[in-house]
Amino acid sequence: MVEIAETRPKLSLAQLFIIFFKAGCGFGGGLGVLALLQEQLVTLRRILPDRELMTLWSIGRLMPSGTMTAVAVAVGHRLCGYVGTVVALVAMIIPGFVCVVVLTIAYGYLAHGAVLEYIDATLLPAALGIVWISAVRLGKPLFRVSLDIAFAVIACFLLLVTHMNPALMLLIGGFAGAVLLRGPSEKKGPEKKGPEEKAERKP
Amino acid sequence: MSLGQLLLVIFTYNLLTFGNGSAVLALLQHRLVDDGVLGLNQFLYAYALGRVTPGQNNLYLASVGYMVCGWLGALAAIVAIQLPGYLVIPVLKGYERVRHQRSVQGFIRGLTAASVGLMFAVAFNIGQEALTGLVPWIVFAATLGLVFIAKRGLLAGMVGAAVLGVALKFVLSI
Repeated sequence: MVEIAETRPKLSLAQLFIIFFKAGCGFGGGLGVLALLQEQLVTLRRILPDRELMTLWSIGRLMPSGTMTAVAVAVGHRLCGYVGTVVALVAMIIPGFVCVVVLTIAYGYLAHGAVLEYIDATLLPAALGIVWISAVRLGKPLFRVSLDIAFAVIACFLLLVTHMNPALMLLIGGFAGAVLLRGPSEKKGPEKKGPEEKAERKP
Repeated sequence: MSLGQLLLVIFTYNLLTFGNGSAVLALLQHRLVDDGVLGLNQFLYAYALGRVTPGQNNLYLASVGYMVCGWLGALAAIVAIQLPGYLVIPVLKGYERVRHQRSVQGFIRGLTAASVGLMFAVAFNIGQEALTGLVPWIVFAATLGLVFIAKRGLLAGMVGAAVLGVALKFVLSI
């Protein structure tokens, strides 16, 4: 079952700021930011389970404006309340905002130069690398023979072929899931045997 | 265009468009460029900045805001694109109440699975734009190598590979 955890891990506002500031340094748009946020929240600090972050991102996709804005608000609110939402948003925006405004001030010098082309050929492919890594890491729970992976493949195919609105695609996926995917989705790994059961199996 | 009008335009367009940043782009182009507030070159430059700077792509609106109303315009644009994100709080509260229902669990499973598909579709689309030559491919492979083989963090992997790309591009241009 995909769910939002009810317990609230302890995190100071300063830690929250650092996490989202680092995430805000990600190139490649929202997915680049998500990749760094996933590394900080799930892999390094274990504050959120990966499925929870994925759920928040999925719901964020259905919100107006930026997906990562909704994710920052949701995570900031869950970890540190309303103050946390402001801290998370401000921290995530600062790196990009400063760069955008500085480069806008330099418009006269850069608009006709090769600097943007240089960035396009170097930073964008690097950002693409972390976007792929993020997609693989966050999609990992689905990588098994299941209806879930079929949904993911069909959604990917339809988005690439029809170029339909992503929010509409996600809603279709959600409603189809409500009919076809009712019930828990956790991968049932081999259950650990209790001591009694292990003893019974010994010759 | 006054600061208040700019704030209202960006806020309204962002509030009305779901899941598709290009829709905002088209609306803004109509409102700002066609009405003569900005030149097309300025608008496209601002949009390009959103792609080559860190953070979300929609931060290009800070550039638009700066071009129209200076620093205050940039700040107003940022506030306007962040405010709709707060809608997620009541949505999550509503979700908390019903998340134990099997149909809601199924909805979230379907939504999450479709999101994974969306992530790969977006990654594929970015790849088509970004991997246009030898250097971009090397940078892309170097990022994966630094993260998976050299076990570097994502940010270090990305910066390391980008620096390698700049060096390669410089050498090849000599």
